[in-house]
Amino acid sequence: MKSTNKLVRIALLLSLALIINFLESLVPLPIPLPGVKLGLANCIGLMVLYCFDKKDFVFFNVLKVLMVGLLRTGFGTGFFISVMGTFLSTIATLLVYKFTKSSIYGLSIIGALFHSLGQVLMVIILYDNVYMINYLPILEVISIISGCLTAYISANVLEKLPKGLLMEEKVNG
Amino acid sequence: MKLKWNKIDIFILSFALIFIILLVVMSNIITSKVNGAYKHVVITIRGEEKYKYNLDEDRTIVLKKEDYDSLLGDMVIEIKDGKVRVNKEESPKNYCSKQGWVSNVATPIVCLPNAVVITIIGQSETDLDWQV
Repeated sequence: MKSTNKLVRIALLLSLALIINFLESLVPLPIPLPGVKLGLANCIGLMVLYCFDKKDFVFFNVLKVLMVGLLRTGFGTGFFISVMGTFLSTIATLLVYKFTKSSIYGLSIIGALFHSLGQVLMVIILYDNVYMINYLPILEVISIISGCLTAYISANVLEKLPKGLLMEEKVNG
Repeated sequence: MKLKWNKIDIFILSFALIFIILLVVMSNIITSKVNGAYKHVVITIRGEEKYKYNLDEDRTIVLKKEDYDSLLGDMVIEIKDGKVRVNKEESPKNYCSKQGWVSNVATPIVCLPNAVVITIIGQSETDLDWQV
């Protein structure tokens, strides 16, 4: 695939992820826990990893964190928390992707697990409060559930998408 | 990457569950270490540490509205049997008096309308300088 072609596809997917991220923040979850969200935008990240390359996955995640900071949350505490979460989850996902033959479910679960781990670690560092670690097990249980959910959604979307919409072997013009 | 659930996913899922169990154990160890033998109740008003009492001595503290202008009304804090609670306070939703007795260092009582925070501080023999 031509690199411009690929860049455009990734950019479209990125804007889709940003929209999902924004819409998700408008809908409150019926769980009385702060900081919990489904992370449906991660579906798009998994699709990028499936359709393109490892490098593009990293590129996508870095851009997503930056764009969410730029467009919505600003570069405050929340930005650092999500940077740490994305950093750990990207590394963990890529390691599992490289060294095991795990399916999209395993990758998603690992990503979600390390995302919340990174977030809580950053909260502990920023607020100098070790007790946040008590909150981590609950978050991780929810992460596993939401990881399965995002993997299920992206697996279904990838199966049903017409072949060649995202990864096109023969480029016509 | 495959789209169907396979054996390695089960390994990953069990790894995740073991990880969570380890986390629960670890957080319990950390909390119990800091929960140590001797604890204090710290009352913070408008971000300033105003009072510090031993959690093992029973007492009732009355914060008067005249003394602190951030209070919406008189506030009664009770310390009894190693636990602390807000007995009476004025606030729109009365969250902090509804919270009831607290004995854990990890759980502060926060009364935002009155700008009052009550925390329990533990000190172990090794004198950990972790903040609450």
